[in-house]
Amino acid sequence: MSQSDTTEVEPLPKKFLQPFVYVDYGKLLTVWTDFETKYEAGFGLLFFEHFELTGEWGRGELEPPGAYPNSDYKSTGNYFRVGFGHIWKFDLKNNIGLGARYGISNFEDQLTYRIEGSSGLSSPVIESLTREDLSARWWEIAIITDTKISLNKENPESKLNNLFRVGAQIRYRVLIDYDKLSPIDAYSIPGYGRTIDKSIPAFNLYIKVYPF
Amino acid sequence: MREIVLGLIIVVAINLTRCDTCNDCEVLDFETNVEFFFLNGDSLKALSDSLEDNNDSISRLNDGIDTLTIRIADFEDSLSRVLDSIEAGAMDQDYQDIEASLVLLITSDSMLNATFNDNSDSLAAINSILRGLETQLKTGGVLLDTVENQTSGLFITSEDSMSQYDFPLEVSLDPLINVTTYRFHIDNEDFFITLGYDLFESVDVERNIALRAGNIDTLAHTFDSLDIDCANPDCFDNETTITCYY
Repeated sequence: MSQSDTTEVEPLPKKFLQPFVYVDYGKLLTVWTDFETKYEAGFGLLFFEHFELTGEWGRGELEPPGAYPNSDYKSTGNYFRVGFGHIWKFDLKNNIGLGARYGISNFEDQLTYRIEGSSGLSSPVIESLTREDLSARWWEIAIITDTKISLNKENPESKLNNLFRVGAQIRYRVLIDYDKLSPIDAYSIPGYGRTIDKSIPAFNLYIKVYPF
Repeated sequence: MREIVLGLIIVVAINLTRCDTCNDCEVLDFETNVEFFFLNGDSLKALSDSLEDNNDSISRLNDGIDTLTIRIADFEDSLSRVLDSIEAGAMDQDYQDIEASLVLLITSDSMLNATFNDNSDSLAAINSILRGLETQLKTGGVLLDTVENQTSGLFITSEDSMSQYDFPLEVSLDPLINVTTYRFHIDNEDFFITLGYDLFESVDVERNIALRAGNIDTLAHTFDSLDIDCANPDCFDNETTITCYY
């Protein structure tokens, strides 16, 4: 009997803690659009390569067309999310996970509406209003996927290959409450979406950096 | 990198399917209108007085007709009894005289009754005509030579008579404008009315924002009299009618 030519490889011990930061690169594209500008970034702690705690910050300037047909509408504010999740290694390169997030948005909105009559006896009406210190809260369920970016293909063991991951989150948001205004309600909540949607799907693209 | 490029393509595709922002928003065509009727009060009062007088006369004539009808019936009853007595052999001259008197009374009362009936019918016919004139005055056209919204400084002139007019209130929240004065030029005379109201914003089912007026009331006027009719206690625009008697 010949000596076996295979050797058993000891699995690497799971890392206790891996901090990471990430940025939503999909939202950066909104800088070049007319109807919204959004930024979003986050940080997280990954425990034992499976359990993550995350914190996210974002800023949105939303000008949804058709919010009120005879009015400009702009909603501006910051939002924060905290959450947790469980990550599974799909294969050596890809991860998939499931998480929950709790979001809070603090924002203000501005409207300018226009009315004109046809009688020839009344002046046109142009009224502006600003509502400040508005807030909203919501829950999210997030399906998390990401994949390792191999920047140094010639040396698979290079640290550079473990530095970046790119991925997406498919979220389903459920609005808990918000400062409802009457009769002209807030239309868009930065970080959540339209107030007429009490639940809403969302999609994020991000690049994640594991510095350690 | 393939993943990033794929993600960017998705985001760009989502953004391209969305509309451009509202650079030139639709303007809502809406006015806080109040409906006006203008009535010549003197003519209406003269007509109304005539109608009332005629109705009184018809009532008195009908009372007379009723009295005469009863009287004629009584006379005919008496005549019947007298005729029965004569037929039974009463040859007294008095019976003959009573018979002649009763016939005369019945004839004259019947003629009077017929006259009363004719007069009553004539007055009813006249009233019908007067009522038609009254309706025509209330619903017929009134020519407003000039209508000036003195609050906005805008005015219109007209050569067409109309029975009903819608005129807008001047509205603004900043600066607050919740009083409107109108000048109406009717039959070579100027009439003024000043209306006060509360303003509020509203959103319709198509999410258009409108500035509305409620609690519309008259602050001053130079008409002979006014009637304000509101569809509900809050007297909203487009649900309030003002009838002006001049």
